[in-house]
Amino acid sequence: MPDLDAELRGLRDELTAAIPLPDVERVAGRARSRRRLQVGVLAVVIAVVVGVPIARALPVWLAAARPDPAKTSYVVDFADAKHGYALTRTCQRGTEGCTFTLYRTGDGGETWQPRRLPLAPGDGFWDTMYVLGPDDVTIGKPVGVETTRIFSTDGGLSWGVAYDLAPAGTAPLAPGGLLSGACGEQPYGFGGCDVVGSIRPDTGQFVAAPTQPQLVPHQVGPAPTVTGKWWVAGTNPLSERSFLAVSADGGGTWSTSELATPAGRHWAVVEGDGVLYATAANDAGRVTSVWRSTDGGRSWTRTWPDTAPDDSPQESSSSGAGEFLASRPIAAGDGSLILADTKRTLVSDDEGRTFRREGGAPGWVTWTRGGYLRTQGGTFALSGDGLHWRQFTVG
Amino acid sequence: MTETWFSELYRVSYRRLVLTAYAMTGDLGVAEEITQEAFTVAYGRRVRVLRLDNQEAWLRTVVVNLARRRHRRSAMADRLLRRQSTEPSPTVPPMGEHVDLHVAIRRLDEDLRAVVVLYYLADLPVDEVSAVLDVPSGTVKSRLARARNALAARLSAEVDHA
Repeated sequence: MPDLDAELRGLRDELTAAIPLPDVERVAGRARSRRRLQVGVLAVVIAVVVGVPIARALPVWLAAARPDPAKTSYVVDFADAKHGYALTRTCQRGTEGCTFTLYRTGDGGETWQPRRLPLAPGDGFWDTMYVLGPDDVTIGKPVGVETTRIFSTDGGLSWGVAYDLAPAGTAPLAPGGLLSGACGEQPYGFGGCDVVGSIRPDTGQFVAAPTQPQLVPHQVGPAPTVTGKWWVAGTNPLSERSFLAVSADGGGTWSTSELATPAGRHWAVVEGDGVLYATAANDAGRVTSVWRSTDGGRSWTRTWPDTAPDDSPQESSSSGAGEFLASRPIAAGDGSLILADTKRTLVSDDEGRTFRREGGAPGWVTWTRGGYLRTQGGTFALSGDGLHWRQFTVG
Repeated sequence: MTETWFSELYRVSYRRLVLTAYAMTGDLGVAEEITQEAFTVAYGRRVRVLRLDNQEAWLRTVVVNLARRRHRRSAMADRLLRRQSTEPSPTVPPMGEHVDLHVAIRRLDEDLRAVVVLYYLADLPVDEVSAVLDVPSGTVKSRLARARNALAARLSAEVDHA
């Protein structure tokens, strides 16, 4: 038996010698080209600021920018019932050669004003946009393993760049903040980050929450619920079971509960009339279980399916909801729970225990700070109670 | 022209940081990508990095953050694509005089592999291994002991079979 320490030292030397050392100029060159991008962004920021009076004097030119719904992808988000933004994207092929335009509304989508973005065609794929306040908006794109964000605090007239890796201290989750992971990548969906915190609307910087929920975060709700509760879904590293954490005090304390469903589900949490509902969907996008909390997320009751200990899609499909693609649930103003996608609508009048099919297909539903947002092709609608919708188009 | 101090930092720390990333990812190719990304970030912030007392420690934090993010992304991709978890596939197959030891390390559980690579290969002291892995020093020491036993057992078995 050879000497283990000598073997380890030998392997260390062998491995070290085998790792090539690329030219340092290559690394520096990458950093310089990123810097050029940022300088370019700032240059356009200056141009936008200088150009604003001219742009205001040219309403006809601005009106010509209305997007063609047949060729355009949209990301729409609202700060409140009146103030919202729409990021439109038109690409030559796939995700290449894309042109992006930002629109702002101050009247709930009745009228939209274009905002010039500091982005050139072909300058990456800006695929996330979050509205943090009437004048605060942030747009992000993946760059390598990071996300670059641009943000505006003046309604999209001028822009700053945020590019950070580590949290800039800790602070309570700001009401206008964006819940995210430390890496600052796609907050909704699977951020894949270890530290929970918020992206500050004023600086675009990531700030860690005062305390961390006792779970490994996989998904966060970027915007708080209607009463200001933040939520994080994840797993316990030891049990690999699903956990849901809810904070009602800006991340100062978290109520963390184990939910008896396999890890890796896609979660959505909404609140209505003091009741929280959470839905879990599998990788195929089907809702597999529905949970209800009447104590602010401290405890959860599984309401559907109410008999199956293992929420496999096959068992779920027997009672209807499992047939539906995952969409953000609606805790409606009349106490009902609605699950909907672009094809069907399911309504529960008994606190999420049973669902009946209802006519009409409201479209894809998401929760924004301005209420529920419904998307069907290039047509949108906003609702505060999930029952009464105000329809609009962008542009 | 790159600043001299940055070139020197790169020359001295690069390979050690690759091994740190290797401990976290189990893939040398990915480890090299992550380390280059970390140095790119450092160069972009070189005015700030230059003022740091321990520049390599700062870079190590960046490397660890990037490696964790990469790990989570690939875990999620595995889940979405319903891939089964397997041993990391090396982009550079183990070779050389100490191939048996390298293979034995790769076959260790992830927790044990990480402490072995960080302590013995990246040459980090116990307290820095503890900081990188975010576990107490005592845990690092116990894992090192378990890893050594496991490696010794596997290498003895190899010798017996030879």
